[in-house]
Amino acid sequence: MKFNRKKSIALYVILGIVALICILPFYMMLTMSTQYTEDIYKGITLLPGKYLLDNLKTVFNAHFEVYYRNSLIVSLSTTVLSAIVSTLCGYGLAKYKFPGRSFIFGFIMVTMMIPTQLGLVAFVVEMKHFGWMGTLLPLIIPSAASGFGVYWMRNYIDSGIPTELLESGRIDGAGEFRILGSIVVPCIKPAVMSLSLMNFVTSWNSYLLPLIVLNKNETYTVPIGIVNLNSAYRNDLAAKITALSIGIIPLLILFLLTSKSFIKGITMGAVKG
Amino acid sequence: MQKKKRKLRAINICPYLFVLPFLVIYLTFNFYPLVYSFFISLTSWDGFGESVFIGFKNYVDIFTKDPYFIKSIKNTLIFMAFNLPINIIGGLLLASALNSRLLKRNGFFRTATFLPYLTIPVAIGVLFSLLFDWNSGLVNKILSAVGLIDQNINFLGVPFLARMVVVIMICWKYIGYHMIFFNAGIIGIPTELYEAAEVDGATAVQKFFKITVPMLRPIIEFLLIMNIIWGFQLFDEPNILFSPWISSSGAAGVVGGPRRCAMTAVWNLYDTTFGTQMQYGKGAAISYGLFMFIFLFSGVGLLLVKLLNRNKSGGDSHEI
Amino acid sequence: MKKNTVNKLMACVLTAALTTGLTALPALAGESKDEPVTLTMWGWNAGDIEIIFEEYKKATGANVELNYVPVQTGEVFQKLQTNLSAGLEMPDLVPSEINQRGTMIGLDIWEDLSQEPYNFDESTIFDYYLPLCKNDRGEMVCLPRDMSTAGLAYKKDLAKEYLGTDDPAELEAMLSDWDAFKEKGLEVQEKSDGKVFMFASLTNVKQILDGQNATPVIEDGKLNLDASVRDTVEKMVDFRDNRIVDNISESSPSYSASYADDLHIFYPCAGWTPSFVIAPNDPEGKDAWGLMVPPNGCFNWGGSGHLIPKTAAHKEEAYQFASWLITKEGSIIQHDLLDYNQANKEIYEDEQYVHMENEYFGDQDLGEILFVKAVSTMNVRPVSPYDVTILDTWNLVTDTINNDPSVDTEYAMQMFEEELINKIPDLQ
Repeated sequence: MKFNRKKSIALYVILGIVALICILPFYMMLTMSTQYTEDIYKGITLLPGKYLLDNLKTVFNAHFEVYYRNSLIVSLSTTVLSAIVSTLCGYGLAKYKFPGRSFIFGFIMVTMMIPTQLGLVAFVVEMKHFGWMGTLLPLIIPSAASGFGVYWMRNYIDSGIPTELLESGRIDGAGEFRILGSIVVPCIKPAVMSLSLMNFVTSWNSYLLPLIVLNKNETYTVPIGIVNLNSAYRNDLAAKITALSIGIIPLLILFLLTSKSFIKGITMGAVKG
Repeated sequence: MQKKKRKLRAINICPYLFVLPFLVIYLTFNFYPLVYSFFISLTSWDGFGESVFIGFKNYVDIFTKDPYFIKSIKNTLIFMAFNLPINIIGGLLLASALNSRLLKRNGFFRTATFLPYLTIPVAIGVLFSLLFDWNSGLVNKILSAVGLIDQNINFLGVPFLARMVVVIMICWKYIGYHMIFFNAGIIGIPTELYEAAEVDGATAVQKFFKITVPMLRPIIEFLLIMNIIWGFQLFDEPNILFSPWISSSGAAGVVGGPRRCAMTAVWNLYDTTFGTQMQYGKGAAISYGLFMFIFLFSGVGLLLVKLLNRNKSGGDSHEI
Repeated sequence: MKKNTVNKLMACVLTAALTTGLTALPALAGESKDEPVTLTMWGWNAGDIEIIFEEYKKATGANVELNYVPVQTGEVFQKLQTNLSAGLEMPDLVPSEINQRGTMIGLDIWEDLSQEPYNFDESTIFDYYLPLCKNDRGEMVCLPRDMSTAGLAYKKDLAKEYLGTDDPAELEAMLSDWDAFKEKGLEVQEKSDGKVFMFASLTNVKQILDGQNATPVIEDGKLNLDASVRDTVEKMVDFRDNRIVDNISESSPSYSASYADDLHIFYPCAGWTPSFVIAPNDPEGKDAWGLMVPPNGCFNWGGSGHLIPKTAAHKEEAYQFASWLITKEGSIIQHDLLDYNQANKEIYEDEQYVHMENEYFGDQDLGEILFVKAVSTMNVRPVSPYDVTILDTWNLVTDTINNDPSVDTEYAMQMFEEELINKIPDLQ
């Protein structure tokens, strides 16, 4: 018993150190956002400074709230659309046998291996023909179809929902869409949650695509806005870090709100590969 | 009888309806640009003006003339050789520790170790370049205060060390992410297995290798394949670490880090197309060349997984 | 209930996204006659530009509005590339920093501003600008904005302690060429037990020496490294080996911090350096700095300009604004309002505008060096279409020399050559 207690304490200490290593950078970010840029250059201190208000002023003078709103629109729409599209496709692939199924699935697997930057130029040309340049649409619609999302939902539905359940629904006379809506969807919420969190994070942090397709200040998203916090000749690092700290808040809130079902969703999305 | 027939038809059309939205969006916005890029890869094109059809010359060039294509693939593989095992083993150990019965509460630790995944890449890049600075970095200050070194270490200037900083950055960000997957798997392992093993007098280490690891094999396989795919697309972290982001003087960083030691395949692609060069044709050829490598390595990975499964469990192969 | 709200919220967000996305489109449609013309302009000094634009409208009565799109210095080139390759609408004014200018203006997409209907008068700006604004076809496609002459700033107390004087004229006489500079640097090292360096960063050494060399790196499709690069590389290696220069990377935080320490004496200094680099990095350094002509003379450092795309919608109006900025009238307004030093030659005939003081430099007249001595003596290397590649190569080589003490001149030169041959396929 005593032996176990010692071990237990040792484990707490080790995990405590690991947790500290993980959290410390966040803490440092917060303290840096209270300091003056040129003081940060002189070396990191762990104590907060007095420049938080100035940094906030710089950030909001640059209309950060507009960038914030745009990012929320983009990330939320992407997340919702992607959840719908991935669920439909994942369900179709997991629970129906139809000609072309394995081809489509193989195709999706292969597409996951292609670097996304590859088609960028052609994509921009295409967006121009659609008349979508300068709008938020190129950031939203295309990312609704993610190979990973389909793969994820397919795995979850394949292993998480017994086919008998669907059969019994059919015997009761429910249509295919009814079955999806009333039997499948309630069961897969955790998987949708975890997929959505991952999609939200990716979309929120996306940098290259918005940089290229957005050409008006009013449509900039957070990462683009942060980079543009420079004044003419000075790189205001502290202001940028302040903006970064504010930028992470939605991700933190989202994670804390969904962490339970997120973890549950991971369980089945990945367990049965 | 007729009713049954209609039902069958419904089943036949439905899966296509379900798959349709994905396919339409994917083919229009993702696949079409990819095909288009293939045609670009057969041309010499600076992004505007005339593009000249040159057949497979770009492909020949990147393999024979341009030293950076092969070098960047090599760099990417080096990163992967470190990141992949560290992330998977680290995540597994962390998850096991978190689910140990020695812990009463693990919620805090779990959340804390997952947090790094949520950071904006730029933020990590800035932090790490401040931490590992040659002259004023915190890491150097701590090491010399403790007396481990008497001369500051040039972490970001010596190619090997610079690569290691990138590895640390990536593992810091992703071990927690891997942990979450393993955590999920461990929860799913029936406790009776462990209890039975304890009755047989198994040690913790034995239990870990005889029960935990085999039970988590599907997850390990999943993460292995995903790591290969993600690993080849590595770009953000090294790019930001060596970018002029923190530079007060507006000085440009070195593309690819010191001696281009951290120039990954995608960074090379990016630089060729949008960075210091404007060679769209060559850039497209690089991406298709890279795709070949990814395809090859993931294929090998999948094959290994399948073979291992066949040997171990005799036919109980997992479809990935 | 809760689920319902979430669903509704999602639906709202989605519709909002789609409508903002779609309604943003008609804004691009053409304007009617009486409506003001909206100039679209990329740039990185939001804030100041709006003030200047208001003054411009007041002064000229132009019926224009400004759509200012913030784009970072380093990203202008990239954004330009995607705009071009996707055939997107071009802005009316594109900013051009010296680092990418040669490559940008090498593209045949800009208006020649010395031709009809613009007829820009080259004689209104300093001669030194011309090689920096003309492309390889000799077309004047860039209107310069600010002065980009540079000298050598030094910390007065360190100069006094280690060099015996803090008087610029005496220092200039003492450090008349780089050999003399190196000798003094060795003495400084000795006196300070190896603690004090002449320069903080090798990039500074490169900046000044390369800035003093006007020989093109690539001439008629041939590499010309021996005349353009070798001497600079040699000195960089020599200065590193003899500890004339410290090992601080210019893009690292410690470089900024070095401005306030008492270990590094000299820094390159252009017109914008005192307010934007020295003031924030050495806030207690009032009256602690001096400016002098570097060994071998002043050099060009930085410099912004404006380009007008051939396909821009409002070329005339764009030219009116960009050229007004460097008229006598425009330059004076910007000087009085924002302390800008513009490219117009005429205003520097007036003592009032030549004189430039900065509290960090006490009562020294910086303009005498930057706006008088420099412009008449400076040798400027013409910009070239290969500039982006050459600069990237310089960054790689400088970084390698700095980080690896075993790298010598031959190795560095070889690296330089291989890199360029590799990146520029049609090189002979």
